[in-house]
Amino acid sequence: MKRLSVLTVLVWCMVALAAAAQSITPPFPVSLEKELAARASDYTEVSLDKKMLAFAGKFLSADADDVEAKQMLATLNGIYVREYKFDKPGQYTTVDLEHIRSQFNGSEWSPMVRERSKKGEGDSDIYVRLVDGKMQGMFVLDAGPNDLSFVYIDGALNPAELSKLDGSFGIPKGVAKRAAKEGTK
Amino acid sequence: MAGSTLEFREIVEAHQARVYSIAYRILGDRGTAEEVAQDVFLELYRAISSIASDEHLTAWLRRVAVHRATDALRRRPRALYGAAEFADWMAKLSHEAASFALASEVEKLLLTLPPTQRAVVLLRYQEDLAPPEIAEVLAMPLATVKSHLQRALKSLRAGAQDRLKEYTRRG
Amino acid sequence: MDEHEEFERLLHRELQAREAPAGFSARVMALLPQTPAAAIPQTAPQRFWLPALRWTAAALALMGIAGGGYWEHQRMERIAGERARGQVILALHISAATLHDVLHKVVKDTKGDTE
Repeated sequence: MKRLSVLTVLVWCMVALAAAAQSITPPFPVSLEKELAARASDYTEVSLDKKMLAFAGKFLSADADDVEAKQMLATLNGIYVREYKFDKPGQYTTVDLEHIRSQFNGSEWSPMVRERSKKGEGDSDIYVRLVDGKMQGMFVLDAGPNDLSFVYIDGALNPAELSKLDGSFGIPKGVAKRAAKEGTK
Repeated sequence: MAGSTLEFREIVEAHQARVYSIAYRILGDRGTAEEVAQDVFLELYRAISSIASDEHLTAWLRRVAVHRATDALRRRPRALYGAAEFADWMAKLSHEAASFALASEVEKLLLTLPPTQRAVVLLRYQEDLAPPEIAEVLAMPLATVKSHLQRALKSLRAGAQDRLKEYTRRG
Repeated sequence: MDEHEEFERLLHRELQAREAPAGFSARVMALLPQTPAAAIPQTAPQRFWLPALRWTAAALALMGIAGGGYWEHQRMERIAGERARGQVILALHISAATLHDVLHKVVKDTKGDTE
């Protein structure tokens, strides 16, 4: 009986650990990550679960950027980032992208942005996870001819606060380029 | 006393171009850039006894100039925060910029970058610092400096293709 | 020379430090406080506190040997923590930049549709 109790406890521990491991695994296929990394000329992969975020939070300083970061981390359960740069176009397919998007077809996920470029400039998607009407997660996919970025953030966040971390005048190339073109008319 | 003042003036004259350029290229506004540059030298005057060498002085000035300029930027009202408002502003600026010298065109492109990317680009191309040195000046991880630099160059090249066609091979 | 190198040379050339406005140094000097600052050192500042620091360092070294394991653990934790901080800053930076890029593509395309 005692042995059975110990065994039961062990099994429950393993189940709990497996469930915990699943909850920290980002929701895009691991095999695709490896393939993309193999094809990329350069890539960045960062995976931070709640434990790592809490640990890192202890080492954030008092300067403005770190203070803003610390405020964000307080409500997050994980941040997973993948950035791939390729030497030439065609290193991923639309099927690859659809496979990734299919991870967010569940009822909790809402597609907020769905951009499909006809000019070959690439696709973009933003999905948010809503629980009781509040944002509890976000997935961003930004695909260009020679690069691919995914961001998965698990937890309560305010995208406006997140975008502040890229600077007060974070003007991406798309806006500046278009404005420059307008100025030459 | 006069000797100290004269020596300090020599320091100002030797480094004013560096400090003013950093401030101006981060802020995009001559008036505020001069105020920030003056503040940097006033702060130097108060801290001068802690400066151990010429190298220390240069590193100190770079670091403080970048921080004061980005602080000043953050304190500005965010009238240009929205993408649409910025696009309108850039369009007007493009008309005004038509008669400007080329150096100003590059500086205007620089203003399309987020402040931290601007600082990284300036420390790399104005101050000729290597990424590890930039990381030290900005107290930032090296990987983050490299990421900022990569994104900044990508943005600048895209902007340059539209505005500086004579300086790229294609166009 | 490839395009990337050529572009970097352009940036080096065009981002040479520009002259400060005329009269800048005079304006700075006029703002200095009336009481003089400490004398500008010609050499490194006098390190009169150095002997005391040496003794402190020696005492700390002895403590370090005695509590070596503890300090080493702290040091390793600090290194790991700084690394984690770096990863967090990098992740947030990439997240913010990616979000920006996507949202502004939307703005660009929306404005294009209405024109």
